[in-house]
Amino acid sequence: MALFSRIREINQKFRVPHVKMTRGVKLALLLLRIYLLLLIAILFFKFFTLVAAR
Amino acid sequence: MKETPPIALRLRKSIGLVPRIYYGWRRGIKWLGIFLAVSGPGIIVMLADNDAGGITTYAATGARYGFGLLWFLVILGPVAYYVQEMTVRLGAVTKRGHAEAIFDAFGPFWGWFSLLDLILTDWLTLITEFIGMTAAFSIFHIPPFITVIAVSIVMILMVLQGRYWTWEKIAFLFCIFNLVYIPCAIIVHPSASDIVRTGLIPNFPGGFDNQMFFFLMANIGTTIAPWMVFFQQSAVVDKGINEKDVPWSKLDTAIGSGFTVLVAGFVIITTGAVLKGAPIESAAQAAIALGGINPWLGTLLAIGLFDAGFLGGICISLASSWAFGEVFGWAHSLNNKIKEAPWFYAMYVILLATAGCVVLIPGAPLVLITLFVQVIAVTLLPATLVFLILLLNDKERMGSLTNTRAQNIISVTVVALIVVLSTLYGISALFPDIFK
Repeated sequence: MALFSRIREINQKFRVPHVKMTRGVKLALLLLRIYLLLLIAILFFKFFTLVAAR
Repeated sequence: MKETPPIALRLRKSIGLVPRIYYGWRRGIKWLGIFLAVSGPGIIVMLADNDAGGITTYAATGARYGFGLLWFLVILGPVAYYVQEMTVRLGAVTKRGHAEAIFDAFGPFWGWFSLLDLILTDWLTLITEFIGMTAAFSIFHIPPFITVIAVSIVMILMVLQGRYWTWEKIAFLFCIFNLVYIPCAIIVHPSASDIVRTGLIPNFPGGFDNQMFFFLMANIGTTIAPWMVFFQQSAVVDKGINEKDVPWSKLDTAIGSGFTVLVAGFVIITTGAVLKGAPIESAAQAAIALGGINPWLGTLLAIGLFDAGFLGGICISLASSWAFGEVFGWAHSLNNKIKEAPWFYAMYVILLATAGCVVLIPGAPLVLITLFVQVIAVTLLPATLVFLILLLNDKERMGSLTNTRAQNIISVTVVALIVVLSTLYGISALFPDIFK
């Protein structure tokens, strides 16, 4: 319980991103999200391929 | 009217040669003193970069291509420097570790992603360090459980003495052992002309095939790791390095990157000179094979492998503990006593103990873990490097140490190349036949 309340406090403390959200920053973060989603998709594909092979 | 020269110029002209040499000597001693006081994080992180996984990669590279890919390491040295020097500036200006800096700048989503990914990557990498250390000591017939227990005790004692300075000096001692590969290379009597002719002139021995591509990616993957960014920035903060110390700290990083290349190069020279063509897949295997040629060679390589795992282990576990301490607001300095920072030290001990225990589990999927490290590191590396560049461009916070246009061109190019190649490396680890 104490851990969850601490996590909530951390989320509250860092709620507002302090970096200036210029077009470049937004684009970089968007590309990063797409990259990570692709990577997760590849990992899932690998997982299901392994499961199907068994 | 004749202009009077500035006083400094007049004084310099009036002082003779001997006093000038004397003051030059005094200035040199002063600069050396400052450098020795500031140096540490850069050299340690760079030598720890040649961890157990790194030594394995270099040994396998030498066995496969001889001296042929030495030139590639020479290129990787400056690349590692450009990434790591950014952490120096960021840490010195913000007085925050990388984890906290990400939370503060980009909010909780990216913060938690980075922190949890870091802890997973670090824990898995720590297991591979233990695998390397136990394999190295098993050459001396020391059972793995003794190695794991003894190493964990030494690693814990290193941080519990309550001073960053002492920890750093002990780490320096282990860094010296990392140079053991230099006598290794001397023992095998490599041909200097062969090294220059086949190694230092860029070429792709046997042509640029998929195997070559895999080895190039593996070398990049071992040279730039996410934990290095987190470790050095936190170490810079814990050491109390200020903005005025940045040039010295950059020099520290540059010297460290030089040593990384030197050590990696000597591993390649050693295996390339005597094991070329042998099917070497791990550094321990290389040590056994070299021991058959010359017992000293095998012993030195095993000591080097153990030291590499140890250095990697102490830095990786500290990087995680620092990161958690920063985000959770615990006291998180090596200058704190256990009572003052119980969670910081608990985190360090838990990481070590659990990673060590995994290695001792009979039938643990160690090969799968090693493979998984490469894949997970690939998910964290691009995010870490992109955040690093974005943070270094935050003019409000970074002031005069913001990235210049030239620095941005270099760092963006370097990061883009690393991201593309390390991603391909991660994919090739998942699908080994894709590049064949």
